[in-house]
Amino acid sequence: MIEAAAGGVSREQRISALCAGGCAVAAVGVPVCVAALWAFGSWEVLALARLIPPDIRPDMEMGGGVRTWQRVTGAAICLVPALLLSYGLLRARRSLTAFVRGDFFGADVVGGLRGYAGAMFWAAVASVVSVPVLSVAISFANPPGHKELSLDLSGAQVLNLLGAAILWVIASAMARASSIARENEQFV
Amino acid sequence: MAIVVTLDVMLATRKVKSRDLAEYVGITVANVSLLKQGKVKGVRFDTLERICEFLDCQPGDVLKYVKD
Repeated sequence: MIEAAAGGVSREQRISALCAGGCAVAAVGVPVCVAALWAFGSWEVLALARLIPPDIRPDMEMGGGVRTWQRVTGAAICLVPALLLSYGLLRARRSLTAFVRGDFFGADVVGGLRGYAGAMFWAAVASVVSVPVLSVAISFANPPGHKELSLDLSGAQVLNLLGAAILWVIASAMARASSIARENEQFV
Repeated sequence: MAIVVTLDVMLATRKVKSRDLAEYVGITVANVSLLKQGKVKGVRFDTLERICEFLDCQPGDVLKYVKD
């Protein structure tokens, strides 16, 4: 804050500016890519991009190419975690731009971090839930014996949930620090 | 309020301007104004020390306790 006031830009502020830019790009890019892949991708591409569980690909390819209703359903289901992720990234961007301004304890920072943590948590939950829902929905029209119910709970997803919970706790601690900082501002 | 700030009285007695006090203490004129009105939550010891130094007075000359 002192460095910012003096006209200098600290290393944290430079990194925050870069990350804020990255968040904005990813927040727009992720849902657009998910929608584009579902709009134009083949089963092979969708499996490679992990938008469908790779193990259901052979059964899906039996029915030929991706049909329009499968594209719409798949996009609708996959966009839920993607949009939650985007929302989280936009909230993180809010915190990062506050850091760039030299505001390290403001309401924007705490609100942004809490929003990011919450969105990451729900995005991780949605990504776990979306796999079985997606597999059932897009294989609904498959012949008997080829309908799918795929479950996927990887270590990375569990770590995402844990990471989001830890970040939420840190954001709550920062909320307390922010309230102390506000109180200190009233001291001369 | 139980603690009353009498800084304005001291400034008038010493014929000192708020701006000069603010400059010496190292706080803004706006904060001196808030302090004179008693609209602050607290005063740091180093601020109080600089005020007393500048006005050549004791803390009790700028702060008074008034029973409610």
